[in-house]
Amino acid sequence: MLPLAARTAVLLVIGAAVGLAANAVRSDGVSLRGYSPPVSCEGPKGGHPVEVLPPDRAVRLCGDPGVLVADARPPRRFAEGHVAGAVHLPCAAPQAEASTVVSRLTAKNTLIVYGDTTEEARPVAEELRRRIGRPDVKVVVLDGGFPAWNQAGLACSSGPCPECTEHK
Amino acid sequence: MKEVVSWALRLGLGGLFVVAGVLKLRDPGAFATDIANYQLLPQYAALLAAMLPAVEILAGLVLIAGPAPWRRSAAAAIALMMVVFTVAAASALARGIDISCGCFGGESGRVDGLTIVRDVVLLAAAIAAVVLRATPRSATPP
Repeated sequence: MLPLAARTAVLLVIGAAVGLAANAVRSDGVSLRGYSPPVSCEGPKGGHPVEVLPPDRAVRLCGDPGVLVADARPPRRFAEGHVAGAVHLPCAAPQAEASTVVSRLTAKNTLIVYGDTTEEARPVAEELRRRIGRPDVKVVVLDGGFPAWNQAGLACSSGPCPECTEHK
Repeated sequence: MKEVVSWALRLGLGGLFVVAGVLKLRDPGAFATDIANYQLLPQYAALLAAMLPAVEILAGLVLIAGPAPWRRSAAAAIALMMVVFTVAAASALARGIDISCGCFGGESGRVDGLTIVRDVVLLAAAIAAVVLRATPRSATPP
């Protein structure tokens, strides 16, 4: 009879082989070759989707002390250029950093989140809305993301985020 | 008494792994995202998402209904998986990454301290299932 370790290895190999075979025949199986890890987290399930705000409407909120803008893109993209005054908060940001942003919203009534696309920012915005848990704070996504903002010739700046821990 | 505990461990742990595997099978793409979000081995997320649910289901079924020597192997396999899951969850928590656990497919909660506690309890149960062997009737003293 096989020893315990050998039987355990056999079980793991058989299970893995069955899993790969089942995945290969499934129409909705995950692609092993073409898979690329997501650049942003999946947002929480359920709840109504966050509102999407066009750049021309978002710019009217600039300078409003009740508004905070958060950039959900990777650090390199943020450093290349971002909405003036935005804080950097990618999906994979440390929890403490996200909590800092949430705490900065005490005197705010609107949080605008943007990415390279609308879809990139949406899960981050939904996650932040869940964490904030305040109905008086409106969380919105910038339609078209930073490219749309930049293309509209609206205020931008570049360089690392001075208030973000991962940029230090 | 030992046999009752052994049965309870087998049914509880085996059943939990079968359910967890089936829930993960429902959406392999979402499970791959959950794995990638741990930021440990994101390039292997798809491979793990394809293999892990079947391994969990097989280990769970063998633990419940397999022949005695293989039941211990299934418990050992579950213990190994629990070590990996616990390390991954603790690593995410230590790095402050706020992610969905992915433990039960789309029904999973966030990774937090309770996730670690649950994983450690399940690891202990799996080790107990490996160590605890029902005393054969013939070996029972008269």
